[in-house]
Amino acid sequence: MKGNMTVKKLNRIILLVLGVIAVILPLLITNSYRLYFFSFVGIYVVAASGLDILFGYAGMISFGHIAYYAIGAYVTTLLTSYAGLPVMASILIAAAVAAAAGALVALPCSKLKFQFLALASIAFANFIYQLICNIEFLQPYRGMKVEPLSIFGVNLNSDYRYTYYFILVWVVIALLAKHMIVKSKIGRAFMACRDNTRSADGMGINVRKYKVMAFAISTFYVGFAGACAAHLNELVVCNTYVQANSFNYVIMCIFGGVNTIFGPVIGAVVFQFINEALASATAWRDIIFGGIVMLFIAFLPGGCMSALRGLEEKLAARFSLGKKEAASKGGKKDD
Amino acid sequence: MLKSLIIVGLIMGSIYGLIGLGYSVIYRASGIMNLAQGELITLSAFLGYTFFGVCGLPYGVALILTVVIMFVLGVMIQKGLVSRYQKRGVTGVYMLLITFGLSRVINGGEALIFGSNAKRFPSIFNVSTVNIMGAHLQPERIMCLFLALISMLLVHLFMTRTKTGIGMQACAMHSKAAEACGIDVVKSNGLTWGLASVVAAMCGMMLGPIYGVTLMLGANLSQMGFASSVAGGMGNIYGAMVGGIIIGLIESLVGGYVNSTWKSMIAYLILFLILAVRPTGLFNEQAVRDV
Repeated sequence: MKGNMTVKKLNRIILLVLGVIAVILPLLITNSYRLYFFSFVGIYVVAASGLDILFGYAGMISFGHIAYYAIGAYVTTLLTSYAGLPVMASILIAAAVAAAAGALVALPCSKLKFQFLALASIAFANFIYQLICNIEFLQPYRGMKVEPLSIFGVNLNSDYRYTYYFILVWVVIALLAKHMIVKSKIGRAFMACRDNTRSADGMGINVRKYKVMAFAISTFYVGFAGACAAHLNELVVCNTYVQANSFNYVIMCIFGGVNTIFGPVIGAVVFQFINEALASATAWRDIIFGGIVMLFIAFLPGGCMSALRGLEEKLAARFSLGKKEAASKGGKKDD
Repeated sequence: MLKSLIIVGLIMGSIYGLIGLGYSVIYRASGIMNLAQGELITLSAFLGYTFFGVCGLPYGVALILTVVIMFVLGVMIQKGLVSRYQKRGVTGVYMLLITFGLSRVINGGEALIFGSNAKRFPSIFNVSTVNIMGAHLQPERIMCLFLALISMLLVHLFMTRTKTGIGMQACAMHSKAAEACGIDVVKSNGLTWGLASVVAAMCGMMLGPIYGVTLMLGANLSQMGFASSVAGGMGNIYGAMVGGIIIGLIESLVGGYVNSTWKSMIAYLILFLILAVRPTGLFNEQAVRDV
């Protein structure tokens, strides 16, 4: 009990430190490219968290989440450029459209075995990619200009510090929402479906409904991320949306640890750093990411989070031991 | 027009079918979908290029060398990697991810060893095109058709006529029962991956001369192969051939009559629809799990 308490306390301290670092980061870094990069990390955190809802909690795999990222990006581009909607509203609408697409895909596909689900998602992502490439109107290869990220008419991209804070706020909202979803009845239903569909069905959980819901929530996150990325880049080009890129989200989840709130965060941050560092050495990048997947599944299936948790428990045990000694010296017993 | 499109479609279909065969063999024997199959194809194309294009060995010798190397590699992957993971209790979606990780590692290794530039596989025959019923075809493509058919026939004969092949089928059906019957399950599993790698080697040696040897060769084509094995019913060896020919024909007809840039889009759409509407494919009843 006591060890648990200390772990919780430790968690809070770590969280606080990380939160402070995230908030004061723009004061430490003035290089605008780096801030742009960190904003992108935030976007990937949202996307990876979205995949984790599907993969970690609901137990379904998707190798095609880039398709919803693309849908989010192109819907918001069209809405802001042609319908003249404000950026924030169109980002949310784009995310909702992506979620609707996810639900539509999930309706027939959620009944598939995992390998076939993976394949269906690959097929869907390839289809969307080819579709984008074949619509002249979207200027797939030359790229289409997108309005910069703005709220209430203020252009945030003029100074990437603003963009960073904007993304940071949304990352916090996304993580809180994920936490709430996971702790709610819906989240428990997801986990029940993941662990055993038959017994979940027997307990009166509508398995199909919750699977479709998991897909919709997950794709909402990814669509949101895609829309934000489009406004951040101010350009959408079809090459961003090749199916192979959806594996990135899977790698992030595996690396950070599925089934946790902060696993995908760690995964996304580390992934983006490796990606950036090895941008010119793609062969090594492939080997490292492939190796990470293979080694982590063998030795650390819970990802970095499980390792951190083990470390924390050790630390906590040491702390509480120290406390116990102090308490016994004082001759008083605390709970 | 129609005739030549059908011929092209049949040729592409037979290649897709052969690629799909590689997936089906492994899926049938161990329930694993091997995402690394495409990279094995790329690797064999690179090996074939090295033996044939760089070392100047005759095509037949290069083919045999590649097949032997890939067989050994396949067995090694099973022994050194897959079976170890299986012993650790890795199953399901994580096994799928292992094969994905393997594919990235192989791809990166290829890029390091052979470089990322596209290689031109020297043509095997002296004639540049052959005219068959109005279709102008590279002779390599016709060779593909025959090699694909021969490979399929050999796999079929091996699986149904030899003791080892029948043993492999038994392992696929029920490994414990097969073991009780005195079949060496460990050896049989290794052979399965070896066989699938041999199929990949055949594909690589055939596709290299047609498309040129690039790092993306296997990744692009293997998805079509994947599609064909799903269309025919994953795990069904004959289904893969039928599915491949269906997909090849659709692709070629769409390319000829509608728009050639649409053909892969339509093929993916069809794959998606097959999975959505009839995930069992034509000849398989295993794809559906849940309520």
